[in-house]
Amino acid sequence: MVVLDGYEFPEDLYYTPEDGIGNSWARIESDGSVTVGIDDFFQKTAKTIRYIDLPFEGDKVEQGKAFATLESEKWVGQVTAPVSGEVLAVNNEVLEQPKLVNEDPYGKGWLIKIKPEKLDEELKNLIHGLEGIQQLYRKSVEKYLKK
Amino acid sequence: MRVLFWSGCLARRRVQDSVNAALKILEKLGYEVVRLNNEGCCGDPLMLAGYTQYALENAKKVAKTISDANVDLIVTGCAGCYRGFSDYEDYGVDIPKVKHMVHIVAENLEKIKFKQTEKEKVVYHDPCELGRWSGVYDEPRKVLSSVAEVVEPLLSKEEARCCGGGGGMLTVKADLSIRVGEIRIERDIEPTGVKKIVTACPACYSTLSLAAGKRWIATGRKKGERIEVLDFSPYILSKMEV
Repeated sequence: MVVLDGYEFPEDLYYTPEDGIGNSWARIESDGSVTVGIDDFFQKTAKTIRYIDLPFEGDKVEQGKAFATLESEKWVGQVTAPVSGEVLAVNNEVLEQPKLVNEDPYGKGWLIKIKPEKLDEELKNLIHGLEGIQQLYRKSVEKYLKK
Repeated sequence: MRVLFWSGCLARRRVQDSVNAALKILEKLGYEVVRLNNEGCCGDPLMLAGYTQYALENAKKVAKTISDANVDLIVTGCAGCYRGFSDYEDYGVDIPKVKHMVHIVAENLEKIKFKQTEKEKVVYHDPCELGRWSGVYDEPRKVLSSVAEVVEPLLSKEEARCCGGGGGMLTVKADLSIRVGEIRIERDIEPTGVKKIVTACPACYSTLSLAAGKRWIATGRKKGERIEVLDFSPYILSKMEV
């Protein structure tokens, strides 16, 4: 786990390269599916999430395009998909209890599972590893916390 | 006419589409629009909470900033800011006349070309600070009737039930606030069968939007069944000819 100023980023995950809010993580599961959620910086900056709009099972998502809307009391924004593919599963628990993304962003707060279409190719576009995470975090802080 | 467009804190942070839409409408209507870099707070939450001394100090500061902008009129899309500014007189603080976007569009209705499409049904939710507090009921209905078939919720106008976001409730007690919004939708709007709500307040928009989403999930999250909530300016802009 990489911890930067209290923000946690598991090192084994892949992150979308957009800075800050809107960023999502991807975990490659042993069955080849990809679990997706939002990172710790995102959830802490957005504050308590009150509503989440997710796609339906069977819908297609595209890398870099918005697939979900998250709303807190004073913020509304979209989440971009880390990889392209078909939605295999939607986290119904998080739809009913949106705060799970704040309480456990890398666990119970996952959003969707994707059957990836071109994983090897698209992983090259994602951030992975300590150095990349540090750069991404610095960009995010610059954009959202140093106004 | 040179007007100051006042976004309001909630619209500025959460309902940016409403701000952008209002600015486009004003531009299309030929207003010279001025905006402030340091908009701050209109003071409405302070007034509502009874902090009259802070509200007065804030009002004096805001009035000075507005005076420096040298405008003929203040326009806002926020029902709370509209009501707050309307109370400045009671505090003995002088500012230019204030209008809500519903006034601006209603006054200019004959100038506006709307798209020729079939009128859809929409429910209009009266924001408390525009309706009960300020008596503004006719203008939004007049405008919406030009582009839609306006359906009244079971309780409307003076009797309109709260959206749940009144008095800053969404900020301080979000769960309760959204629950009140769900009650508004469940009891007064769902029985109409209409799937679109238009309101004219960023707090009503935000709370009802969250409530509609929660209600949709609670009732099985069926495709095409989610009630859509729209703020006045984006809805009107979407109906205007480009």
